[in-house]
Amino acid sequence: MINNIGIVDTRKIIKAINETYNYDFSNYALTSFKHRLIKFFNNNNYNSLDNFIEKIYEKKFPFDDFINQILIDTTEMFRTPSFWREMRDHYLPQLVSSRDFKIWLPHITSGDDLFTLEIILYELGLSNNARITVTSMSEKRIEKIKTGGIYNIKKMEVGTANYKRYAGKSQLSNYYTVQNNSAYMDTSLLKNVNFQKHIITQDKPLSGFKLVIFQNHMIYFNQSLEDKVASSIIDSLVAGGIFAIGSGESLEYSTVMNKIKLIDKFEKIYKKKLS
Amino acid sequence: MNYKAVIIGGSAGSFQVVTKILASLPENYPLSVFLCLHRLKHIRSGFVEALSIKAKMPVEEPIDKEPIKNGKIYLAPANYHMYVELGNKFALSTEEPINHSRPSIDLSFESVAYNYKKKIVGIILSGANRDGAMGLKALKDAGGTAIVQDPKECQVPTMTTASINATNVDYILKTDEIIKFLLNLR
Repeated sequence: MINNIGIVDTRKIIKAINETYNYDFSNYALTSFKHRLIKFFNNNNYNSLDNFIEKIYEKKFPFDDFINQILIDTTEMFRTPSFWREMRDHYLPQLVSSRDFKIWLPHITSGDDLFTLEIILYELGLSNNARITVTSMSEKRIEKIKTGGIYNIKKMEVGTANYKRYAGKSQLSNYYTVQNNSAYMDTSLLKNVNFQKHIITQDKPLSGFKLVIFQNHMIYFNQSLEDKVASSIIDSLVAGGIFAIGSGESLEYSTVMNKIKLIDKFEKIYKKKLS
Repeated sequence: MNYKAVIIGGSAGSFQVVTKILASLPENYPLSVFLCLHRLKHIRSGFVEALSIKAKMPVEEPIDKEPIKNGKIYLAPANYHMYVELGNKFALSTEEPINHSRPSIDLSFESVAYNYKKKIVGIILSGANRDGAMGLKALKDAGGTAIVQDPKECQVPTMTTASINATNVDYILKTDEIIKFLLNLR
């Protein structure tokens, strides 16, 4: 068991992973990334940091598990209900009325945002009008979400409370089944989804989206990586497209503000400028 | 100036003590004050406003990557952990709750301890769970000054007692003594 990893060792681990697997974590926010490393280290019973680094270089390292566990998936369904109400009442009906409505959820971790969005579209009767692209750097995550997410019951209680605050038309429990204390979301909600492996921090931007929802991911990047990712997302939006981030986040410190306009300060919703 | 900041942890029940402390700090108080208080996770507004009524210093909830300024009170926002990050900026996080708490006092105190070392005063107030004890220990281990509100004064002494047991605290003080201590830091 270790309680902490210093900056020097953190940098060594990041370097080893980058040199061995071509995934670059050097611009992740340090505090939360260290928490993930410590957790992974302790869960996998390494006896020393040197041993850990050696295993990475030797490729005797469960890299898929690492990617899976490094992604922070402790968000909630209908987290920030007021944001989702805004989406339901204003943005989605307006956007979906236009032809070829493409939504992108990049860097997906738990599937909470995806199922939230799908439930909203379903209740609006707009599921068939939207095409959703879901990307993640973890294929394990994609597979898990495709089979309904598999959430623990405690998480569904949180989601249920959030759904009530959101004031949905139905009940969250209508959208999942419970087996052996695990909840499986209704995968028929995902008919309009295209899943792809894509590393938002280093792969080329996609294109043609009218809406990108990217909540509580920028908090895990440092400023320079935030700038890069924000720029990539904006490039993937059509002119006038919508870019939503988390309530505790802001793009005001980033280099992209000349390309977007803040249209909802409380819910952190931005619009790509026309030119 | 020996200190850069003061960090205060408590649960919702410590609200009165917190407002009393904040009301006593003058407008030109030279340190930044971080508050990590257990709060309802779905209520995003109202808390800052309630504290602002009593506090003379400006109160705000930091957004992610906001640079930290002296003379301000920063309240950990609902449903996020609040860290101090390299470069003296805030970082927010949706990592799992610790001791059922997000924001977690332990995590805030640990990150502040790591970045400010001995230039931090950490104060644990009344509260109903053990969150804060490990954070105060980390702060003390890094060279900071550890203060705990006198459990005799607390309605719910779980948090303060756990903190006293977790580390060799520097001071156990009543609210008025905490205020006096903070005013002397100027």
